[in-house]
Amino acid sequence: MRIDEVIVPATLSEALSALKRNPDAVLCAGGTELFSEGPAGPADRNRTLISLHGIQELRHVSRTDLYVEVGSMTTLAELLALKEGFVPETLRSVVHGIGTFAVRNLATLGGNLSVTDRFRDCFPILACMDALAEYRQGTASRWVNLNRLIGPRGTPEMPRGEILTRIRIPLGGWDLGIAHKLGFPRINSRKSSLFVALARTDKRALSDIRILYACDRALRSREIESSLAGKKIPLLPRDIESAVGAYADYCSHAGIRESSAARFLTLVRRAFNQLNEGVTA
Amino acid sequence: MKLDFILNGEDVSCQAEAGDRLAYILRERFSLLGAKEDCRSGHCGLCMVSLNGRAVPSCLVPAFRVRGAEVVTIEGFELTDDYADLRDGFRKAGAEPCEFCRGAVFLSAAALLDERPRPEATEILEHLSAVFCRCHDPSALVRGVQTAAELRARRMYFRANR
Amino acid sequence: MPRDRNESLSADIPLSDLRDEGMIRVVTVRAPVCRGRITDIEVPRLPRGYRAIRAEDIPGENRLAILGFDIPILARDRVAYAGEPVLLLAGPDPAVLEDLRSTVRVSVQEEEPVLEWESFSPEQVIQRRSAVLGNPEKAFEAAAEVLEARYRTDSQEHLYPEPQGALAVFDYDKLVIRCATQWPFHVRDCVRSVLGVKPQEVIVRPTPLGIPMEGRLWYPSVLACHAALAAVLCRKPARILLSRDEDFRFTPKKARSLVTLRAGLDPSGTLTVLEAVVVLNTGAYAPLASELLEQACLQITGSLSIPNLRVQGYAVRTNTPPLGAFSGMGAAHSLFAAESLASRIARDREEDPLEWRARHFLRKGSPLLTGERLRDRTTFEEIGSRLKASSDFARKHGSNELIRKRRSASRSEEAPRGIGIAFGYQANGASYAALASGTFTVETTLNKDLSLVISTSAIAGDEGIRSIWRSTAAGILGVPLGRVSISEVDTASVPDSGPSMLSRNISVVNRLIERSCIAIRSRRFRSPLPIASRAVHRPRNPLRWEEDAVRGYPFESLSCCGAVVELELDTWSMEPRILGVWLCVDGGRIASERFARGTLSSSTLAALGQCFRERLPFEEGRVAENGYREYGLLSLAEAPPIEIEFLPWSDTDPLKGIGELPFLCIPAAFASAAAQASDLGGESLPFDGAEYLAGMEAV
Ligand SMILES: Cc1cc2nc3c(=O)[nH]c(=O)nc-3n(C[C@H](O)[C@H](O)[C@H](O)COP(=O)(O)OP(=O)(O)OC[C@H]3O[C@@H](n4cnc5c(N)ncnc54)[C@H](O)[C@@H]3O)c2cc1C
Ligand code: FES
Ligand code: FES
Repeated sequence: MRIDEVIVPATLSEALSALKRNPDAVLCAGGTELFSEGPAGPADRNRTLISLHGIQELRHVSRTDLYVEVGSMTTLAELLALKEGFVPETLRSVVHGIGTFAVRNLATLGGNLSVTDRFRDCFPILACMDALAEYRQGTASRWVNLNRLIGPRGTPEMPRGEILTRIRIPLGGWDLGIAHKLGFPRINSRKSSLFVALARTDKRALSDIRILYACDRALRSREIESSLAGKKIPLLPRDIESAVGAYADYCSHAGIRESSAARFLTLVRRAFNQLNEGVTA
Repeated sequence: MKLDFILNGEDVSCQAEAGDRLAYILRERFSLLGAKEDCRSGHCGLCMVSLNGRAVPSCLVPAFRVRGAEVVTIEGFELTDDYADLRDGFRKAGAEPCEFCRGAVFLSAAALLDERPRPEATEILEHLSAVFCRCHDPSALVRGVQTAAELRARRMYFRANR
Repeated sequence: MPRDRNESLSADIPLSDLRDEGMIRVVTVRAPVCRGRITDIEVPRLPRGYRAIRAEDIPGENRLAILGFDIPILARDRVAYAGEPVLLLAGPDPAVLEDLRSTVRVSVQEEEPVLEWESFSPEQVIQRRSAVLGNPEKAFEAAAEVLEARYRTDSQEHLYPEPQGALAVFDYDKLVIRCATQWPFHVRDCVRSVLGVKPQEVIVRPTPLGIPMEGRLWYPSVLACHAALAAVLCRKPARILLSRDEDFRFTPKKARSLVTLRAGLDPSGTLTVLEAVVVLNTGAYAPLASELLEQACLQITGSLSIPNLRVQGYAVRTNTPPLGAFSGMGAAHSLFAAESLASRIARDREEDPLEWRARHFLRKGSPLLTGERLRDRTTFEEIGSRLKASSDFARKHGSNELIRKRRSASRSEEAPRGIGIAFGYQANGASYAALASGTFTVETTLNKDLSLVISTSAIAGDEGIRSIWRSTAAGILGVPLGRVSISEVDTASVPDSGPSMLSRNISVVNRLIERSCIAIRSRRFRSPLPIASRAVHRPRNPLRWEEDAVRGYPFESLSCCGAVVELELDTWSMEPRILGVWLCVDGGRIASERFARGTLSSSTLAALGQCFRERLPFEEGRVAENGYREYGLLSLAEAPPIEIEFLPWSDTDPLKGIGELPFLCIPAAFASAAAQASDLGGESLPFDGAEYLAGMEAV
């Protein structure tokens, strides 16, 4: 990327009006994704960059009984520095596995959620938690459930010309909280994938389950999830088999690579087993 | 563009292109060669500097972000007592890093000691994994940082009780 | 940036920090395809002060002088891999050069690249070795059981500090080359022949080397030639410095290997015969292919003594960047195979792998592939019993085996564990064919003020080796350590001590220091000071390879080692997590335990990286742009506890090389641990957790 102009707004409203004037501008948060381009390739278009690093209001973090709200410019290091229990532990462990401490000093949560080529590590877990993202454009603002940013083919469909300002993460315990990165830890590899499974039980029945697997795209089936809701816990072997079967159909429908599908199904099975073990324990 | 910032405690100013990175500016405009430009993608950590008190890979820091900021490179850090503790601690432990990695290793270790004055082995390894090299001996590094932590704590104690 | 010009001559500044007044930069235009004939190179109009350099502009010979009879400095007619240097651009501003580079068009009439190597055609073979010991045919006929296995290892990146490059500056009427090289005289001779000048007109002064992992043996010479050409043709000091991305994608990497073994056992389970075919994929150019191949053949039995042997080895050319030397050289490929086979036989026979091996260990008097008998005592048994005690091997192995057998039935969700053991030896003073013609010299001088100066072109990658050299000299002459110094390497003033590879810094250079100091000692009170003494090493009796036979004694001494690796597989990702590594080393006298432990620990991490992380993403013969960023390294945060034990030594024992040992023992120990945990064969490295996971649902 060649940059010809840089705008460094001091407030959100300045940033919004700069974006309005330059609808093609690239937003820059921590810059760890934008500037880790390696060798300077031949110039593509020269771009205007709007850097959000000076906007204090985008670093605000607050908490109610129901949710935590995190400003998009909060760095991953700042998230980890919050006192234990402030953000859900599964999210914390995912953040801890991103890059190195020095990269996390720059990288922001907003940047992590806004990368367009493929979902980065925080997205799957927050999508499963039904986190909301606030986007602002001009004087307008809207809250979007992260799941709405998964396009029909499972790839990211990030809003354009809008600034992600806050992320609202619902609180409330999960009886099963799994988030695992497969492949290489700590780097941003196309060969890595992320598996997330969250579940709640209520009086020995499954009240809510969410499973998302992000490889070159995000796979999540609300249909299968709702078909599982209400099932008795521990799940019966035949429930497990039929759900795994349903996921197998879902994968072949989605047309993902066989190896990715196989991994996904193994992990789904493990998640069910762990759920059962947790209950029997 | 013109950049004014504080570099190793001094007010400085220089010209830069919009796309320049801090690592490049330090090396080319200020002849500070302690931050190496190796992978230019945040992976090796060899370009580590402290930006507003936080250790960051300077190859990922665009020049415009430095305006008004405070940057400390290994050359500046070398003048501090904290550096002396680390140097002595690493020397005692037989863990002195080579010329390529010295700045990055010491600045990473210093960042850890600022946060955790008595770090555990796992924390030390976690932090130093930000600097890549093939000759790291984990146990020597742990001894090095822990020895430095001791020296530092002792120095603080004497300063407080003087 | 104006800098003191003396700095460009100083020895402890890394190449990337060196500049010289008026220095120009050099960038490489590379072949766009893997194979073909160059039909045209279209260079845009260059601004003033910029110049393009083509193969035609080379005043001397367009090839590497030593070893590299077929390696062009710039490709002229044909290209042999994607990324091969075709043209250089030189000029003052790196940004302008970058823009110019993207506008040069290299047209190549493309030919189908040769990428297959496991089954190869005769034209691909660049080196071939074969040898027979005993009577394999008869032994196979008599065997009660015959089994076969294939062992593969992948390529690996050296990842030395600082990408490769070179600076060429003028010092009066000499051209001075600065680069990080393991072999300064190789650089000098190559530059000299490319420029067509006399050896004295080129001086090489190396820059800090770091840990080269055998990745800076000959390629620095190519870049030195590039810088020298630009300097001479543009009459300005010139520097070429690859980006990490270029270095990662286009400089030599470790050879890939396939070792096929067929083994015959007698009714008691004793291994009586082994047939091995070693195939090394050495990419487009492999100046050290014969060394790799010979070492792989000679160490094909690992730590075992097998009376009947047939070995065939092939180094095979493909249209990928050069693949070749890496720490452990050729021996690592065959030790992985042989030691894995040993573990597999024990596992099939439900025997303890240590007990099975104990019946087979190489011992003094064991027959070697060359027909000679091993002259050294080996210590594998002692090493084995120490490892058994320190790692609690037998108990852990036994209980993992029980779980493994039950697991296949019940699919437990617990993290599966495995423990593996392997042995190996490092051959010190191996007589390399490539070096057979050279003589290698070290000079020491005892001055009037009783200071001692060691003068050698050998490069110590770390302080450890330097301190061994100094204390060797100090000990012999009774000089205080502080009075012993090592002169800066400069090909104009130090003698040629050969390449600093493998254990040569110990087995050759330290020996020469010893000899020259002893010579000084004998003249000490008879001649006036200063006394200088030169010791010269002529590789004696290089091995003679003939059709189906090899003659000679293959090394001067052995360093023995054993390793235990314990791991578990993460239940979710199936990625190995190393729980512990135990090494037991018989490396003769250990000069500095601290340095020895440091070297062994860091080599252990690099060897483990090769086992399950470091995978070079070759696709269609090339590594994708920015491949470096996806190269999975084992980080310090994942470093396991590493326990290192040395067998006791006495002060009269010789010093031996030990740095390679982890590369020789750890892969097979890891693979057998991974095999136990995964219930797979462990026949291929690196182990791929994600692939294994994908395979589970299908089961
Ligand atoms: C060494 C290294 C290791 C890494 N390892 C990991 C890893 O393990 N896991 C992982 O997930 N990632 C990893 N990354 C990738 C990346 O750095 C992170 O995902 C990071 O969180 C991105 O945040 P940032 O603030 O730096 O984003 P930036 O680089 O500033 O921006 C990223 C993208 O988001 C857009 N954007 C940023 N902020 C906003 C906003 N407020 N509104 C709208 N759009 C916006 C930008 O235009 C850009 O397209 C790694 C990077 C490096 C250098
Ligand atoms: S050069 Fe900045 S991290 Fe490697
Ligand atoms: S300390 Fe620098 S390469 Fe290891």
